[in-house]
Order: sequence, then structure tokens, then C-alpha cells
Amino acid sequence: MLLPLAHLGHWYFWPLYALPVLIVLWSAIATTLRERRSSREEEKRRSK
Amino acid sequence: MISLFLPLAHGLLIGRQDLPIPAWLFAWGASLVLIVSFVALSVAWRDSKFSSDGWRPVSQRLSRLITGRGVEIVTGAIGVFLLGAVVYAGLEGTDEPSLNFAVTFVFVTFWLGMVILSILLGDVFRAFNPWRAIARTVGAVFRLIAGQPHSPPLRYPERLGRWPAVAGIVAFVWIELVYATSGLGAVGLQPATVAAAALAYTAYTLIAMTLFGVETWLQRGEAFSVYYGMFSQLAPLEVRDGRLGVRRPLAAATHWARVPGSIALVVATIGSTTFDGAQEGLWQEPIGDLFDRLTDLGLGPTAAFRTSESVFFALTLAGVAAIYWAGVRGMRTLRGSPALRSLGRSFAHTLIPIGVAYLAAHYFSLFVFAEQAQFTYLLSDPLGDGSDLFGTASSGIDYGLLSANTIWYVQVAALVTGHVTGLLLAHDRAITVYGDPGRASRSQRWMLLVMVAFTCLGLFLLSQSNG
Repeated sequence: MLLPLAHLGHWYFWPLYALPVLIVLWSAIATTLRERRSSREEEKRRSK
Repeated sequence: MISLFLPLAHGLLIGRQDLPIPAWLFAWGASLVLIVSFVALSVAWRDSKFSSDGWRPVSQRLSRLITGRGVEIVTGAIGVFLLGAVVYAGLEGTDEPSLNFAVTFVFVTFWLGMVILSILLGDVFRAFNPWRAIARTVGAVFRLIAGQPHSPPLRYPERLGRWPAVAGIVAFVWIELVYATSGLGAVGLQPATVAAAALAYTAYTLIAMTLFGVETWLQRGEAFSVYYGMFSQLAPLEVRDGRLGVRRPLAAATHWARVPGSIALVVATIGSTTFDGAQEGLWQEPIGDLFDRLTDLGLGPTAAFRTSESVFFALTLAGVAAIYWAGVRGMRTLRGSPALRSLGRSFAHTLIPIGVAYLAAHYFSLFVFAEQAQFTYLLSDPLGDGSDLFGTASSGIDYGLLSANTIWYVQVAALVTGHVTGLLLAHDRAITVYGDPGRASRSQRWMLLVMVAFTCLGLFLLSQSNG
């Protein structure tokens, strides 16, 4: 019954290692989108 | 890494003591260090400092003393002697890999040791390169007999760039990690195989040098020259036009990746170490599953094992390349960025310190332990036939030299240092590519992502194989 758990250690903690990567990824995407939006708005303002 | 030292590669023989914090928290800490470094670079690093390496010659006397003709002949002879020793020990020595000089020398002393020397002292391998020494000697004899230098019959296709060297390095690593550690008693890397591979590579290299010219092949196709040459870009020393000089450490790397195949080489460096770590942890089960499927399809166990390992080796290389290109694609989202391929080449050198970090983290303990064997009993009894040339044949390996926790801390320190260095190189390069520090910092959010991804991946793999 314990056999499947023997391999659990190989995978169990990977989300904890992935978390910093996801945070930086989210931050990079969010900042990029925000900058794009503001530059689009800036262009619109100039064209008016 | 080679089967005999496999358990030592990540400190498995010595169970790790309880760490003060969980292993995954080290990944969080390391990521935090990278984020702080990124912010610090954005604020404080406003001008490119690595655009020029600031090379300046040392005194003529010192230069001649170190790089003179006599030294070149002696180092070349040492290289040829060591190549001969590997072939002879492989063919004539014991079949037991752990007792034969050839296996440890090629896969630990040479493969890892030369990386350390290259980073510290520059392109040292060029001086000791046995194939260069043989080719130059034959060339000198030819010149004497024919009265004119040998002119290569073929022009090297420049579009090939460093790709032949990439193929050579991948083949070498495949022999080491797939062919040598097929996990079954019937196969494995025999010293005779190492000798045969060394002879085959010698023949291939000499033919290529004859066809394309010695220097051209050394710069583009000779796998080890190109591989160690890549690491030597970080070194503070360089011989330029026969003159030894000092330069700013890391700076020479900036222009290294202009040649095609350079990205593939540094990806292969990181990917091969990643695969070595993953096959003991992350990939263990998937490899086993694929092996079962292939044997069910009727493939023999050895072929099934090598095929499954090869598939996951290729997947790992593709995964490492994907992480890098994801970062480059991210940078490309910044307006006015160069074309994707150009951007990829511009930042490829920033992966060299990561390659170093991965090598140091994965093989530090192996190197320390295996070198004890190399310079004691393998030196005194290279053939494993009971001889005792230097009186050290009965010496052993002191496994108490490093505790498992020490190994872990060195691994973490190596990964953090390597990635911070990569971040530094990337930021400096971005200032040149994007023109102003503000845009450079904005582009580097994506390289920060690459660095954090490689750091966490490295620590995860180490925690799996150490745990």
C-alpha cells in the first residue's frame, strides 16, 4: 500500500520550486501589458 | 556522470543532515537574491562596462616565459602523452572502470578540471590540445619535405559556425550519460570503449584539420577547443597574437556568441547537466515507463533503455532551449527590440555562468572525491594491474572530506553566484542593445525570469537527487 508513496518525494515539492518562477512571470507579463496599455493611450492622446 | 562515482555525484553516499530550513526555501531565498540583484543593477549599473574587455599585454619577458615556443612544445607533448596514456590504459588496463586511469581521467579530470582552468587562466586547453600538437607537428614535417605549407583543400562553410563542435559535445555527453549509465549489468562504459572513442575522435579531428585547416577547425569544429574556449571567455587572461595579456573578467564573453551554433553550445552545456540531475530524480519514472513500453513493443532491454534515455536527453535539451527562447521572446515585446535571432545571439553569453554554476553544483562533490582517486591509486596503478609507481596505490578516497550539508551549501552558493553573474552580464549587454538604462532594465525583467527559472530548476533537481 505504501509503494506509490515511495515516489511521491520526486514530485511532491515541485510547486514550491515553481512558485518564484510563476511570481516573476506574472510580474513580467503584468508590467509589459500595463506599459503597452499606457503607451497606446499616450498615442491616442497625441493623435487627438 | 560515470557509473562508478554515480552515487557520489550529488552526495548520495552521505545522507544529508537536517537542514535548518526546508530545501525549497533555498529556492525562494535564491530567487529573492536574484530579484534584489536585478533591482540593484537597474538602479546602480547605468553604463555598459563590458563593451570592451580592456585587454592589455603583460611584459614581453613574462609573456615569452609563459607562451614561448619551448613551453608550447612541452605542453603539446604532455597533451599527446596523456591522450596516449588514456588509449593505452583503456586498451591494456583492467576492465573495471573504477580501477582504470582512462575513465576517471577523461570524464572527471579532463572534462571538469579543464573547465576550472579555463575560467581561471583562459584558454589553457589550446596549449595542451593533443590534436593541435599532432597536426602542427605533421604540418611542420610536411613543410620541411614539400618546401611549402599545407593548404587545406576545402573552405569551411561559415554558416556551419560552431555546430560541428555542438554535435561533438552532445555525442561525448551522450556516451557519458546514456551509453555509460544504461543501468544494466550487460552494458556500461568500459575503459576499452573510452580508448576506442578517443582513437575514433583523433582520426576524425585530424581528417577535419587536414580538410579545413588546423586553426579553422580548432575555432569551429574541434568540440573540446570550442567548449573550453567558451568558458575561457570569462577568464582575466588571454593570449592575443602570441602575446599574453590581462583583461576585464567576464568582458570577453560579450562578443562570443556572434557565430552560429553558439546558443546551441551553451544550451547543450546546461542541458546535459540538467539531464544528469533529472535522470536520477525527475525523469526516473518517465524513463522507466518509456522503457517498459519499448520492451513491450519487442525492443531489447539495452536498446530500450538507451532509446528512452536518449528521448529524455533530447527533451531536456529542448526544454533548456525553450526557457532561454521564452526569455528572449519576452524581451522582444519591448518596442524597438532587434530581431529575435539577433537578440538571441546578443544574450547567449549570459548563459555561460549558468553553465558553470550547473557544472559546479552537480559535480563539485564528484570532482573532490574522484580526484583523490585520480592522484593516488589511479596514478600509481593506472592499468589496475597491481603496480605501484608512486607509492600511492593503496591510498583511498576520504569521503569524510565533505559533509552532505557542506555539499548542499556549495551547490546553492554556486547556483546563486552563477545566476547573479548571468544577470549582471545580461543587464550590461541590454544597456548596449537598448541604448539607455531604463529600457535595458525593462527588457531584463525577462532575463530575470530566465535566471529564476534556471535557479529553481537546478535546486529542484539537486534536492531530488540529494534527498
